Amino acid sequence: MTCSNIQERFVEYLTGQLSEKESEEIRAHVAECSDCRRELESLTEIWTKLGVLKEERPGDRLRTRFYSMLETYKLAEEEKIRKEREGLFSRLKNLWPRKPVFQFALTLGMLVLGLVIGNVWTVIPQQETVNTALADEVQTMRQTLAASLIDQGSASERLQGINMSYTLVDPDDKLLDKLLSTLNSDPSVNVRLAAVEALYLFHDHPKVKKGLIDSLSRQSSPMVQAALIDLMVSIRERRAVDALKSLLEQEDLNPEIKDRAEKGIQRLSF
Amino acid sequence: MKKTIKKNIQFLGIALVILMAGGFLCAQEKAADKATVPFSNPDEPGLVKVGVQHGSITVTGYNGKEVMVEARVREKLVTDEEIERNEKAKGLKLVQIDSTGLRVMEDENVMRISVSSYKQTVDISVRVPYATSVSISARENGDVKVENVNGEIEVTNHEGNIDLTGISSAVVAHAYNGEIKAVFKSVSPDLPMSFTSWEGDIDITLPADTKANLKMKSRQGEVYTDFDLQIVRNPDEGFDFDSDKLKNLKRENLRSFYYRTPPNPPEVPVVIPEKSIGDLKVSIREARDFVRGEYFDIAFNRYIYARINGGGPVYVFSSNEGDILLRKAR
Amino acid sequence: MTAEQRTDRMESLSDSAIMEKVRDGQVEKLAILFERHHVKIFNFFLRLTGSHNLSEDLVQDVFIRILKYRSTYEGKGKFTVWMYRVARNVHVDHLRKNKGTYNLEDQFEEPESKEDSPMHALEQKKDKELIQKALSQLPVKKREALILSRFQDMKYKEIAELFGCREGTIKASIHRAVKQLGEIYLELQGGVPS
Repeated sequence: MTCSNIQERFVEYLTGQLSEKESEEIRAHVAECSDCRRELESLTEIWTKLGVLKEERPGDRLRTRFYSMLETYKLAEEEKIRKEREGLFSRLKNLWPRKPVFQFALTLGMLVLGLVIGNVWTVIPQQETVNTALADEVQTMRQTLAASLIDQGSASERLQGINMSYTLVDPDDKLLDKLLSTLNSDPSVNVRLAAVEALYLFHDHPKVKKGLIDSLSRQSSPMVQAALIDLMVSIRERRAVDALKSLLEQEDLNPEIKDRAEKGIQRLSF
Repeated sequence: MKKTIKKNIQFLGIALVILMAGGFLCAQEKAADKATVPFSNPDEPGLVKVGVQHGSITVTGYNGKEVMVEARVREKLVTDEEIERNEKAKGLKLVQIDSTGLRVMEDENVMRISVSSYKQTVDISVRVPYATSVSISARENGDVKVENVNGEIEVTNHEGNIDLTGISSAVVAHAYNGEIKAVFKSVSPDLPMSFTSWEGDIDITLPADTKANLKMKSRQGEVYTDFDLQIVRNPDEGFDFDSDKLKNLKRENLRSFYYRTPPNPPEVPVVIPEKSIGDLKVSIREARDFVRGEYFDIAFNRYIYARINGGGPVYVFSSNEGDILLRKAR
Repeated sequence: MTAEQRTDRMESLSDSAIMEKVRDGQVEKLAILFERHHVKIFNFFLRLTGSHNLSEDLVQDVFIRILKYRSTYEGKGKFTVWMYRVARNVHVDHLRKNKGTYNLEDQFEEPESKEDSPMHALEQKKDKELIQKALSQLPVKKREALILSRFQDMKYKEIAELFGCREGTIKASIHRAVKQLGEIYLELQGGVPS
């Protein structure tokens, strides 16, 4: 192993891309050869020093801009397709098409939205909305993303999608359905638990209430059962009593869950 | 579009390579079934899914492109039915294939590994490229260990322990009886995590500069940490009131906790640790819990909500009986 | 939908697969790639330029370009390599427009920090500024290559593919970049380069 051979592999050594055998070769050579050792040490020093450039997070404004841009692009594409479908004749008819004006307003709205709100993840208070149309578009975008993540993501990404639903003031039925179906059939206990906690926020919806009560008999994991029972009691949902009673009749019911279900029935029956 | 079709024809959803490693060894030394399988697209990170009913799973990251699996039968589980059958067949020799039933199927970078582990205990050992994500499920008679894997990790173990070391992305883990132990080299800046257990302790070590929003609770155990927690007032406070205005206020608080950098400066808590265990401080169950009276032990949302290092994605730690220990990496 | 069916659906969402969907019309799926990668790209630019604000702008440009040129995505090789190609182009175009420098006002500004600065944090801050300054004096290509290997977890093979040169050349180049960085750093500290 010549010195230049060894030194050639220093950068790979630093990034840990050498096999154990090769790393050993380098260490052995460097122990003997002071020139190479000096070289490696000086490289290592700077390499390590670069570590002070820690990973940082961009501001939330970046997300706002991205989603606004994506939405605009999407609308523009849809407009393009729509336009292509219309014949030349109808294009001539529309001397003052509505859409381009809307798009201009959209661009203007983005600037204003950026100034006023600055953070797409805060809940947009109803009274303060500057451009309701835009706010709705962004809300729809968020819902679509949350739904995509829940459908197709890894376990962590599904959690991300569920977390996102916390920011929606008025999620549509589709998303609520998705949360309920996640609660009932996601393979991960952690994700199902997160779904219970997110649905807690929307328990006022009759569909959600019913879904939560029905879910009780479909759960096999004590962690999720416990969370559902606690939730029922916490919101004082008397209609859950029947579901709790059915639960008690299940075979192999975890004794602690049995105990909590009984206590729950007591509390709800006052 | 054309490329995808071609790939499908090439792989037909199955890439199966099994080598039986000598079936003539004596009963004590069980032979290992091995397989080495590449991903369809070795340049992209892949996902490995592995599951076992009885047995253990060990996954180790290594500097290579293929997935290397080794499975070994630890012991056969004899059921009552079988004891009866053995009686019936006394004097006759049992004809049996002594293998793990190892199957590996790969499709578009998703690799599924399975074995026959209903009537026998099988130990599986997998080596994966560093960037691989893994999804692991184990039930009884064994622990799950993952080392030096940089992709996302999803693990469930019903009876045994979960031990994760040298990991650097997001983890979603659940143990029923066993303990969860994880030591992170680094964390994903964006992805949420969740650690849940019924009986076992949850012992997690994170880099000291981790930015996260924490939700921690143990119903019967304690929460310990040496991180400086900025505790956020429980967003659930005041929920017992029926007033819509207060309900909305609580919802706003919950929402703002879920959305990372708080729009306003975070509330400064006044929480004094009650006692220390070595270096770890004890986080308090807020005093108002005792004031709540009859709703005390059924409080749905009785998490400790806190931020570390200013806040970031939400990490959930929830156990029924176990303790939660959140350590700073030294 | 059974749990098994659900997991099947959740599998093949590799970056490439998602980008192919974006290319073929489902543009909203770009959001998933954004969520997965924007922080890494942001930090790539941050280390290149030293400016928080500028880096945010450049990230936005990257995604605008990915949309604009989505039809050119071929799905060969790793998505992230293609993505960094776009990022490098954005970087180079910015430099061209600004005559090879970054706006001095933007440099070294600190994002609002909510924490107190004890003594060692102040020292770390100085260190950081110094290293950032030294880095910005490296020639562009060397700087980019160094950052990609040191921070963005790119393999040398991928970096070579990105730059369109041989793997050996890239490794040698990064080696020289590290040395050069060391010399510049020493100079900035007030010492004499050896």
